[in-house]
Amino acid sequence: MKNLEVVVEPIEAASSLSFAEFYRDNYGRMVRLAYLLTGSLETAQDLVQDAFVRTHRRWEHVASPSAYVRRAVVNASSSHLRRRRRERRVAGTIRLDQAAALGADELFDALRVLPARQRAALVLRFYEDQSEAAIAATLGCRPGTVASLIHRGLEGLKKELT
Amino acid sequence: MNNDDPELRMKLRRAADAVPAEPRWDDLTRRIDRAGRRRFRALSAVVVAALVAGPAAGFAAGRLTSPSTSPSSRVVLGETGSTVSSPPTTGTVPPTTMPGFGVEAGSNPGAGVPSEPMDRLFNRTAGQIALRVFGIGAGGGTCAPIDMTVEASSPSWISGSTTLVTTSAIPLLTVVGVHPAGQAEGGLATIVVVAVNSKVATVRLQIPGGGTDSMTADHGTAVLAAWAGQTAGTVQALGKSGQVLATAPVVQQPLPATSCVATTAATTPATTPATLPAPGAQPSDPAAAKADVLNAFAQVYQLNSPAGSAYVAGWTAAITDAMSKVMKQWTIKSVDAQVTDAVFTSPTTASVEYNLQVMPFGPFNSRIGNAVLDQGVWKVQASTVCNDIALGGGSC
Repeated sequence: MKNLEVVVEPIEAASSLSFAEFYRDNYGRMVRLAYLLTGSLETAQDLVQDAFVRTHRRWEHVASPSAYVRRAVVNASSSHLRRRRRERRVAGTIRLDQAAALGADELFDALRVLPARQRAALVLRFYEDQSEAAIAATLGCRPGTVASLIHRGLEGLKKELT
Repeated sequence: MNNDDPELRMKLRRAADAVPAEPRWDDLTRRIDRAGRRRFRALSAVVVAALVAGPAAGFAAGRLTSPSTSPSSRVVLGETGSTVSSPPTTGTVPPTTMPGFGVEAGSNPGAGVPSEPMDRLFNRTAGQIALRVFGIGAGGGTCAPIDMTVEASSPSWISGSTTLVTTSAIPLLTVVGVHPAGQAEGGLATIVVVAVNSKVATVRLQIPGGGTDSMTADHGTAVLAAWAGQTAGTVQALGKSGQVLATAPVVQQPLPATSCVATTAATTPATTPATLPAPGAQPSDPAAAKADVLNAFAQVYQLNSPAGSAYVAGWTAAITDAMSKVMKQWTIKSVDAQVTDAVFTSPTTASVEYNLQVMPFGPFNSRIGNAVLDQGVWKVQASTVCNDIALGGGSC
């Protein structure tokens, strides 16, 4: 959880924002983010609720709740995928049943073949429109590493799609 | 594919937009409650380990250095005030005592525990939970006893707890002790110790999904128990005619450290009608009016913001002050009202059933309130907000 309070966006004063407002305003965005990272709606909802529980516990001490909960969601999603890879021991694609039901396409499937950090970097960059500095803070790495993750992620996508 | 790939952006957005994402308050509340209990259990395990390991190590050390000595104290507490004796000795090792339990006068002066026996205040049972309440220094009148010990037992467990109840100015109702019991045995129960003043005749405990308990106030206190693993309930103080004088969440609070005097701190009765009334004449556009009513209830508890107070019909600064005090007193993180039903009793008035989410205490469900059309804007009536503030012991 290092660099968690790094300022990656305008600091929300926790005291001026109630947790209820914060939850209401951010729940949907976080579930969508988690869904893009994990490919499972049920898992996404579960991980996001846990992330908000952790945020609630630290509410008085977190300078930027949005950054905190986003990082919690990304970390939990990455851990979930690693655990699932170990469990299933599937090399290559991870089948995600609900993706088809929700209308995901070939590109979306290809995205989920990527390693967790590359996928997280791409989703944060192209879905959340985060800057490389903000992504670096969320992933706990240097901005240069983010550029590399995005580059390799795009290359991986291109390879999957051809 | 490049660093500003519009196709990738579009497809990610399309995939994400298909995700339903309605906030799930009930689930979040349950998870927060569970997380709190897990932390409490972990802390309890550490405390128990310390309590067991410390005396055991001390006992072992004492046996090694003075093998001929034995404890000399006589513990006074018991079922009928009887004593449990141990043989007198000439040893020099001080007796081991448990905090909160009395040691016979003269046997161990200055040991840091009460030197006189406790008085038994009352016994009672609540749903197969037997409660025996002892105290030292019962003040009588409007003052609660000090240094109170509660023994609780059920067919599967026994539990003891001590609560310091100072002889202080007592508001109508103050929860001074909340003790879980039976965790290891799987029969979860919650014991609640309440201090009340002389205006209160009966005290009632209500825990959602965990039953209720009530008793007549005795020596300015009430000790209530319910089978429930959670403590997200309420305690109500009832007057002699059964009216609700005050309501408080089941959360331990310190008593004011002032002299022993009777107080007349009054809180707004927290009574609400049980059901919605029959519909009356409808507004010209009921759907739009209902949406406005829902919006008013969604906004009104953000009273720290000017926008919130604008949705209170008959707003005064006292309402915002009372809300702020209650939120600060109970360290409430947020309050959120979710309307479950609304009935228009006239084109300009509506009765509303709603669930109040008070974080981190949990939901207060099926509350009834009123909204009125005030200068073209649907607003929540001040009395509704004040009834909710009374849940936390505040008054407008």
